[in-house]
Amino acid sequence: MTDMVKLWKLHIKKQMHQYLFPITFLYLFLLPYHMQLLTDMDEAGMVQVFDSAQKYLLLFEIWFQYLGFRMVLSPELKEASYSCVKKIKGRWMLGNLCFSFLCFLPYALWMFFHCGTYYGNLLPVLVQCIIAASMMYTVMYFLQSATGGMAVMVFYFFCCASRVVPEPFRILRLGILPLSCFPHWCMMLVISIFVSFFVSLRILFM
Amino acid sequence: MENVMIEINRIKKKLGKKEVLKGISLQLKPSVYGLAGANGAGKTTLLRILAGVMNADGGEIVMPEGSGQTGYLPQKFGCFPELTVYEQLEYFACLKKIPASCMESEILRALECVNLGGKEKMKCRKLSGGMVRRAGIAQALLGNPALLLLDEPTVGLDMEERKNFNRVVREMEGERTVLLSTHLAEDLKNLCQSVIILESGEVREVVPETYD
Repeated sequence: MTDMVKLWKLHIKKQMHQYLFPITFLYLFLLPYHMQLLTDMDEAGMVQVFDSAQKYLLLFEIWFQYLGFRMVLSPELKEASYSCVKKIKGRWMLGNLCFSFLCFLPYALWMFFHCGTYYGNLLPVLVQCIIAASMMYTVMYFLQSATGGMAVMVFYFFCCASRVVPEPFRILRLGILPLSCFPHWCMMLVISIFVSFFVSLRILFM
Repeated sequence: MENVMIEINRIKKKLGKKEVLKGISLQLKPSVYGLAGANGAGKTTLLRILAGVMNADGGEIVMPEGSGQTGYLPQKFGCFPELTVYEQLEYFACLKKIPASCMESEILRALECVNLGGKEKMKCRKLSGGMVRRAGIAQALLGNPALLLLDEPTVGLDMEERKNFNRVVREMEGERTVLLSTHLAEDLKNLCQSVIILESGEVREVVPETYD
């Protein structure tokens, strides 16, 4: 475990500015913006708040996964480190996820205590982040590229945001409260595929 | 490590429809072995299997107990530009699970072995081609592996850098098993005690003979 912690410290130290940028944006711009919107606790205001929360948290999650795998999957280091990396990459992805959630935690707690009876909508937003991280991890695994994974996920994100992707295939559901989006068959299918993928390749437990 | 014998038994590998390795068997002692052959003979595939980057379709590799992880310098190796030399080796040391208590000393030892001592704080983007290659050997030496795999290590190096590199490899003679894949006759002649010639996925000849 100490070696993973040391690896984490190295990643964060060398990419400090890249990690700080979304965190600064979240707490200096997005949080005050949501504070303003939450002055009236009506559904229209809540929809606006959760729409922007979904969009930005998803983008930040994609960015954090990219930063986490940028060194690991770099063309310079990939081949020489592959035999070691393949044993830890599942745990590394989970570590990236936990780290991003740790960074989002104060914002999430603030939302939880300030959006009244709508606090349950926070959970689907966080579940979306987990699904996006899993999808991105799978894409990066097959492309063997962090940049490729990020490009695919950002493209998919913008297709969802602009509603180009048909509704059953969209992670991002805008214009309605996240809790109103019941898990549909496509989302369950995507989740099942990822879970079977992880279990069959024993990625998470390697 | 003088008595360590690494056994490679009937290693097979198919890539797509092509059988790239058709049952390679070798016994390797602590020495520097050259791996030669035409393009497509299976040299890089064999090295990648030995390094654990790829799985073999058949056969086994027997490494003696306590021999440590295998050190591997691939053909495509570079330094991550934002890291310093020390940080790059620290990255590999973490992946190889070298204990934190001896990580620093291990990294400095590896850098001394490749004549990069004193350059720990240098940014990787400032390293010359030869220094990058030597940093590559340093990362391969972390953990004191019994088997060191070098894939076309002198490609792109000028004469001076090649001399420096060859000196480093020669110093390892007898300490560990080094398997060096190269097209350069000069490297085979100057560095290698034995040369393994691969042809179409099979061992065609070993000069001089190293297995029964």
